[in-house]
Amino acid sequence: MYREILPENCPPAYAGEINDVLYRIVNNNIVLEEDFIPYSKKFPENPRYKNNCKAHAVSFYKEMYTLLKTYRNAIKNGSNLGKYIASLEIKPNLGKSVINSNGHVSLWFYKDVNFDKLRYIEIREINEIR
Amino acid sequence: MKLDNKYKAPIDFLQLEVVEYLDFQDIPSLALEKDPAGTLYLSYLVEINNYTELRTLISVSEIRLKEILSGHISLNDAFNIAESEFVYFISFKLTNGVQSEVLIYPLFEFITINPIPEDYLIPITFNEIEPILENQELISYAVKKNKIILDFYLKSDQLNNNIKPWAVNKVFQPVVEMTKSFLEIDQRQADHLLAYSNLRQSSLGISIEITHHPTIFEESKEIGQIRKVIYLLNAQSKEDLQKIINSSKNEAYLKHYVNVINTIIEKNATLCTAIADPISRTIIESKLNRKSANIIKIIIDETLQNITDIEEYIGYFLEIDVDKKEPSFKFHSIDEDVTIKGKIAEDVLEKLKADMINIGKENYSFTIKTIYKPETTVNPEKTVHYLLEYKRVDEKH
Repeated sequence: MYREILPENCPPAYAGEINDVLYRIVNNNIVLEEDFIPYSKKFPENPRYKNNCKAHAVSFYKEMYTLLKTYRNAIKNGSNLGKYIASLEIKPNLGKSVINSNGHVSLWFYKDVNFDKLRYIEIREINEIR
Repeated sequence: MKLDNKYKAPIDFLQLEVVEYLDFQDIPSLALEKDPAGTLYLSYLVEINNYTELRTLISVSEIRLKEILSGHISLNDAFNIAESEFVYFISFKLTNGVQSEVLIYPLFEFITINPIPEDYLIPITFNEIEPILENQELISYAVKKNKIILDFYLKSDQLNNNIKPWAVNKVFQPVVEMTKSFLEIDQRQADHLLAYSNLRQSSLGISIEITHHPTIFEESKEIGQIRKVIYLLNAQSKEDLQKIINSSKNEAYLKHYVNVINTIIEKNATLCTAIADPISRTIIESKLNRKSANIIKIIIDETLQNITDIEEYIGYFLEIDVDKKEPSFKFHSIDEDVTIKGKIAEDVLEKLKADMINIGKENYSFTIKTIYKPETTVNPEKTVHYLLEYKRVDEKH
């Protein structure tokens, strides 16, 4: 059902499908599946991620402010998350998600998501926004 | 981050396993980990360098963890006032999670280099959190105001940044209507007896203050009726439902209750209510979520075919059509500020034909029977009103 092999009880039972426009930090200015890879997949042999549900989710943000805060923290910590901020329509058929109090959305993609059919509503270089 | 090598310790001094990530927004900022003995650790990401992540960790008791997660202690403070004398810095290889360096800092040294921002807040995943009800505060407020307090708290992913109209119209307002129905009061009386306070925009929280009339020897009639709101929202069986129906004079509240249930399911929301009684100084609570709402919805579909209610309204006629196959009426209720239309009962039809009704000008007291059919899997909800009786308001007084 899901694109990744997920640990037990993942996503949590309270995860739901959403229909919203969300932001994501990406590396390319066109939709490519490689920009929607969860952390666990980058380090598949690391048990600290392999066995943890949230590490298999892809991050999206409801608010630009939270996204930029995460981006800046990541830079401080030595991680560069990408060059662009893309906004896209997240439809219920893409996967299940949970949201936190920062407006951050963890999305677990369904197996048959066709990334070729996704289009960004808007994409901007992060430098332009700063 | 520059660390002092004099605090180096053997690798794998602590064997850790991630229990869960408490903050994973693109990067794994905060994790809860545990060692083989079951001791819990909070582990904050300091930096990532050369495919190695450096984390700082403290051991935490379950009580301290609760205090941190509920926001009573910030993460920065939690590290500065750690329960143990030591704070750990551990580097893990990103490729395989193996430890590459361990340092054990004494707490007094760590405080001077604490890398956790003072304003760092641990995000809370919605639906994982239970709203914390400050019992003592709620009782004190009820006692101070000498009113029954019905505290309403609705949470949903859709109420993250603001309050959506459905939260007010399809959950809060129906709960108010249920309350009015149990208290057997109309809108005009509600304006005297009910008041809203303590509005919280984090999801939707509102306190409803209810004026009551306690006596020296027994609890107020109002508290007994208001408790039914909680019993109803907690109902999980046919017996629970039947007990409330049998002990209530009217059934008008059921229509609103069905609305609340349907909305909780549709919006995947959680409604927490609590009643504080200023006399007995007690609180009773209810929690309705999608799971419990689904259970009761099946029972409602089986049990409640029709909900019948008879209500009195003061208002004026807008339309009367006695020539139709099914004679109909329309009036505007002054006290409820709603327009109601429906069918005219046979008993009243002849009187209506004979009377000289001054449409739109004279006020009448209307007795209306409402038959409400809740939505089922095959049928949409349906409400039909019947005019049973009407009297000129002057005649009545």
